[in-house]
Amino acid sequence: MISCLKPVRLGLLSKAQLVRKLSNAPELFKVLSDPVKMTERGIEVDGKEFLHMETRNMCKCEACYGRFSHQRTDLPYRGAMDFPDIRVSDIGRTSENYISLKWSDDHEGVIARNKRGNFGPDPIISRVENWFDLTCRKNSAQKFWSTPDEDVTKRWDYSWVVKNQENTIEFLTHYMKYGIGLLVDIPRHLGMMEIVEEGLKIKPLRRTCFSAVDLVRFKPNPDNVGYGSGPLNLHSDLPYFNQAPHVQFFHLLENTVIGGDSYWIDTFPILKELSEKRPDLFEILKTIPMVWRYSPPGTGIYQLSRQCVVKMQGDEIWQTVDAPQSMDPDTFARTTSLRDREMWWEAYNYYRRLVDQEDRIFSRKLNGGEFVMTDNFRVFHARRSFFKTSEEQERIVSTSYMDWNIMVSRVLSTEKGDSAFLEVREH
Amino acid sequence: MLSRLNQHSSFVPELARKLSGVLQMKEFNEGTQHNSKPVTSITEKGIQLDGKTLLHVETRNMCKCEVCFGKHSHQRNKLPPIGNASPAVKVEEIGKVTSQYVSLKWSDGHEGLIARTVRGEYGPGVIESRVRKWLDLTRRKNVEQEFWSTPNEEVTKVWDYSWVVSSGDNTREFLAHYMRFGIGLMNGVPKDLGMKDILSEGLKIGPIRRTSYEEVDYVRFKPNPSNSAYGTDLLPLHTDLASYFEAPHVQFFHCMESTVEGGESFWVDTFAAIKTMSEQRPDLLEVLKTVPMTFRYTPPGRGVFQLSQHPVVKMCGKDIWQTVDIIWSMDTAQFTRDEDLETRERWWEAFLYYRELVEDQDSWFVKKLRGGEFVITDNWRVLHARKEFRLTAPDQERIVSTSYMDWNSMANRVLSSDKGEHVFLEVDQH
Repeated sequence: MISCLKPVRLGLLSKAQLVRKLSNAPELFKVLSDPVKMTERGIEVDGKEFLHMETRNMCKCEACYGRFSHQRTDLPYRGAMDFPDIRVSDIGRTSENYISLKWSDDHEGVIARNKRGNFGPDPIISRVENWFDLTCRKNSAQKFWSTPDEDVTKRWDYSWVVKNQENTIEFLTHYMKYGIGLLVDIPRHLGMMEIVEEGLKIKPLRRTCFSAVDLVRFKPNPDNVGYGSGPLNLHSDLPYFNQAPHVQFFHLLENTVIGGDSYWIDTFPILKELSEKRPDLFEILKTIPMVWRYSPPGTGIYQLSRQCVVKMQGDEIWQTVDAPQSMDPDTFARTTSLRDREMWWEAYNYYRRLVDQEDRIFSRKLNGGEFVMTDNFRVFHARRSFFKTSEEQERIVSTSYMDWNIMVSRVLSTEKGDSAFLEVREH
Repeated sequence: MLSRLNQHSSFVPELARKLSGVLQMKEFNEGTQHNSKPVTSITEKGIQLDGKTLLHVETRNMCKCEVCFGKHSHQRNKLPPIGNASPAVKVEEIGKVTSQYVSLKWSDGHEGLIARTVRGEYGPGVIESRVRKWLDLTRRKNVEQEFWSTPNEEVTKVWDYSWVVSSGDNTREFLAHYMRFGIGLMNGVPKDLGMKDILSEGLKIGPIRRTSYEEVDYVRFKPNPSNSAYGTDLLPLHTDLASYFEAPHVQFFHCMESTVEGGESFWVDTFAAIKTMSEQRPDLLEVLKTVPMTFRYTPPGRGVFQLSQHPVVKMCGKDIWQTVDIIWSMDTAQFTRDEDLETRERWWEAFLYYRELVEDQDSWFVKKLRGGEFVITDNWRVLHARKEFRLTAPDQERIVSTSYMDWNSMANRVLSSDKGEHVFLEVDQH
């Protein structure tokens, strides 16, 4: 039905005019009239209904939608919301990607008929088609892993990954899917900034109280458990930030100690299991916030947050926040009722028993030149204790963070300078 | 009395500590320091301490001995088996009680101590007093915030920059005011100071949160703007960077020059509107809390593709937590693909209702900012906007620099002691 429109240039005829012209060709009339029609609540386009109000907010004409900004430019105080009773008054030309409309506020414009009309032509549209849901962290696009399989443990060669845009995107989408990505054979002279900003071409790094890049190695009297040599339980980083950084980078510079293996788990299948077997406990972890704190004496640092262990976005599992070493049970006890605390500890113990199951973990003793990216909202990391048998042995890791949106931008956007304008002028 | 000899290196200090403990116990028993009830008993659920029940499992997680709680990190060093405990750990014995700590022994064999007071948790000195005063404010508890439906004197108060930065206490007072009202306005910023100087050297807060707009963005008119803000038109009330999944929390706005006609800034407190909505139309508020809208910023040719999905209203428990709202970055077309018609109808009804409340001009704080004026807003709570402006002479300009920061950096400035000022727990004196 739609394809028959393609070779036919409808010119500047409105739909009403076309209908009159075709009144003697009922079959063709029927085909041409089907794609777009008025309904009580709005219009129907290709079998899908749109509200009058939302069509006015969807206008992509260059008076309403900035060609260079892709933002609304017709900005009375509330856009179309100044006219809550606004209606489509006429349906005009229909092309492959756009439909001309006229509204009761007398504005004439166009709305997108499909994703290409909304986002623009290739390469953007094919990337959006492939990865939109993944970049939006839809659980259906992610691959949860209860035990690590070949995909989870796959080692990606750094030089291959950074060779070109397509390879980098393939690696980053793998990371987004599994919550973890492992790069190997990083040239020894490269540091975190070079790998991330110049190699993978993603920036900026997210600065925290640990600076932009932190070097994690043993220190006596450590002001953070990460700088000790003891074990670190499975945890997410920086839970004491209201907005914990999303993407974590972990570059192993040297690891000649005994022990010190790293390991990871995917918390999302655990939460899924919890939501199915014990929805009551799952609800508690979603609604009662724990307190997290990091306030090492003498450092001028005082970080504190209150967050639920589990955060959802609608029905999607969104984030897990959990670092036992940074829990503040004292403040929790002082600020939360006994009943809530009882429920919370029961729920937390149940969930944590699932987290600490050995068969779930992906374990690896990382070597110098290896680099791991983890989804700090989803995959917990940990370290086994280590010790030195000689003075020259070291375990040195550099870590850094980034916002998720930077990854999204890298996967979906074109290169700077490569403009992908909407094709409204061709409508 | 439990023995702590394994933690002490010599007899004399141990004796001194024991004597000190005796004195503290005497003070405790005489009730000179606390009006709290003495520890009474171990119960089925946990222990009774100063009239409050603490669960067995949480007491074990509260141990502040230097084996369990790093002296230099204030983090848990040695984690008791939480989920793997079988049977669950319980308090077996209550030992010495001092003004700040209580010694306990648990069923896993560990002997340690828990804090009785805020001082016991945090240590003596400034931190304790700051925590007492501002903890809930820094945690964004609604009960500590002051919602404003119309701008009052507190909201519109103008703080003198040189006074604010003249001492740490003044800075904290200003920042606490900002946290309470969601907005803080300074004037008298010296002309030679830029954003970074004001933040890192003046207010002593950081780091800046870098975004796709770099660390500091200069907002001034540009032809063919790649962002609506670089035009001259009205910018309706909005939050910034809704296209980020994690929108920056704190926004700084430094007016460097404003000699144009028009261009007034205005702000509104959405939390007051949301509270009203929760009372008048809780059904519609529920829609705004649960149905996510897509927000997008994808200017062609810039190498930027920012996209996110958020409900307009986010809660933390029962507290209003965040509002996300920027009309011109809404991707209404994508929304029609994500949600069915009925949900969308309901969402538009809810959104219009909420928007009607924030668009009430009586609720706006309006001000034409001048050069040298500086505003901090809570980008998760207070919407900001700009009226249109006109250039009527070639030398006229409106130049604003903007930047962002994490909330935690503000909380840090309010609560922490200065770097180098070590505040250890007093467990050695127990």
